[in-house]
Amino acid sequence: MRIRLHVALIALTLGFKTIMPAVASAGEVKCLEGMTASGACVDPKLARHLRKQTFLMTQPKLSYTAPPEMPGDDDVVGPDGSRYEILNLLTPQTSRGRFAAP
Amino acid sequence: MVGISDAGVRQGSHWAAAIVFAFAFSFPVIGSAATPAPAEPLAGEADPWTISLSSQIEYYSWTSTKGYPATGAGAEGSGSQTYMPVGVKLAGRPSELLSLEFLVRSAFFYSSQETAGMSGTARGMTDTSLTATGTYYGMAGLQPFLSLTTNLPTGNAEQSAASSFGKMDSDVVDTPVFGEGFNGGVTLGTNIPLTPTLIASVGAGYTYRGAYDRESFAGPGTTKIDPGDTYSVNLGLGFQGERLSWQTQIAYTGESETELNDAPYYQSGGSVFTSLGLGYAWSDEWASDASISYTHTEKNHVLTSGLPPLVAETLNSNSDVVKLDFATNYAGEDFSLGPKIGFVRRNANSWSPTDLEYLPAKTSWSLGLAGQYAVTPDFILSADVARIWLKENQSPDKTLLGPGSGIPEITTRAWQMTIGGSWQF
Repeated sequence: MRIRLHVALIALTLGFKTIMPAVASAGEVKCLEGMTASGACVDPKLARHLRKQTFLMTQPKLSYTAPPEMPGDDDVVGPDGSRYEILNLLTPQTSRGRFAAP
Repeated sequence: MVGISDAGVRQGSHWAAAIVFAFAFSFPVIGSAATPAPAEPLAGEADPWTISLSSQIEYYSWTSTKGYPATGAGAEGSGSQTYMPVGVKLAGRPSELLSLEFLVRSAFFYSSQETAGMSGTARGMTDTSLTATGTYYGMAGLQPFLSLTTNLPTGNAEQSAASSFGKMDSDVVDTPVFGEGFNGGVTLGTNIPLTPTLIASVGAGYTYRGAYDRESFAGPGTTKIDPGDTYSVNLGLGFQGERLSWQTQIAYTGESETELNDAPYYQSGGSVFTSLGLGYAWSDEWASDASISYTHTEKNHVLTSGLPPLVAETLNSNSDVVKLDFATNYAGEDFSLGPKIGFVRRNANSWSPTDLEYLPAKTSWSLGLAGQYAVTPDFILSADVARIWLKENQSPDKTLLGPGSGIPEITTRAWQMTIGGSWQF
């Protein structure tokens, strides 16, 4: 069932892909990632990196198992996971953590 | 906030200062950056709707002088984890003023520990995240974006007593748990380009974290966890030149109360995270990347004698963390290959070594090799392998529990291997 869910997710996306050509894309744009205040085009790679960095840094605990980025796309340096939370709430059954109260 | 007189803070600050100092002298030519000339065109035909598919297999194998979680009487342990995430991204530009991006990510895992009295295996699917981001390009000098994201509980947060031992040390494996509850987040941010190659960014986000059941901490049944929601703000600055690039950021995250079985349990202290990343292309073939980061978390709020309300703890239970990574690689026509090295240092927390709350210092080194091969420009294979050495200092006997309650120094050796591929079509 879980494999079916994975396949379904991919199929759904592929289906969307076949529909999207009917939706016009922007075509020629002046600047791919926008302009400075003086009207110069900004560096697209840097702009995308900073946007992704801002997003990930403002959602630090969204998901332990499925962080909202592509697998292997780990160019953003992120904070360390909450060690206190992991040791006190998420360990195996033998222990509630070594320094927890109560 | 923890005072500067706390021993743990001083230790962390000294580590950070020492590493920054060493770092500065390891890059004598960074100041010789050439004129910025981004490789990617600044303007032109906007990408049509594109789909990217990415997956990889991550394998971890470890042996340690203690199983996980470590106890004073615990035996030597070993384990392995295989984690296979899959991500699909759809991105497009429906108009000149707006770009949209949709991301779905989930994973399969197999995780097994073999430690006397703590052996178990867990397998299955993890949670799934769904994310949508829209960016507006209608203002010169400001490119705001809005992201909505969720964590869907498709994984299993409630393991059996045995399979719960498949959970492993988050300093060794990427996935210390296999599921949690429904979480939802929203981020509003903007890029502020100061020049075409120097961009500031600012953003704020909120994450709602829903309640869920996990296996009981002891015995049959379940325990309900309602983790604290988080709110975060982030400031960033980045530069992309022809040879030199760098990014720096600072973020603050606060958190609301966490409840256990509908009763207040604790509230994490606010956390400050800062990092600096550097990249330099020595030639057309050789390039290096390095990063350093530092995390400090303030005192938690905890119960007093097991009773509410939550109050600030006497000393800080959280450690400061310093991370350092360095990689250099050689890029051929359709491949790249090079070594990488990593270092992580958690200092001891602020409690006395004989207190129950004491958490000793922990150090991790890793050394590895990473490479990529472009089968076609849109189909890229990647692989890396690393050896990891960890040492957690001794935690002496506790005053309240007496002889035998301490944990000796723990040494862990691990392998980490990853093979992956990404396709864009």
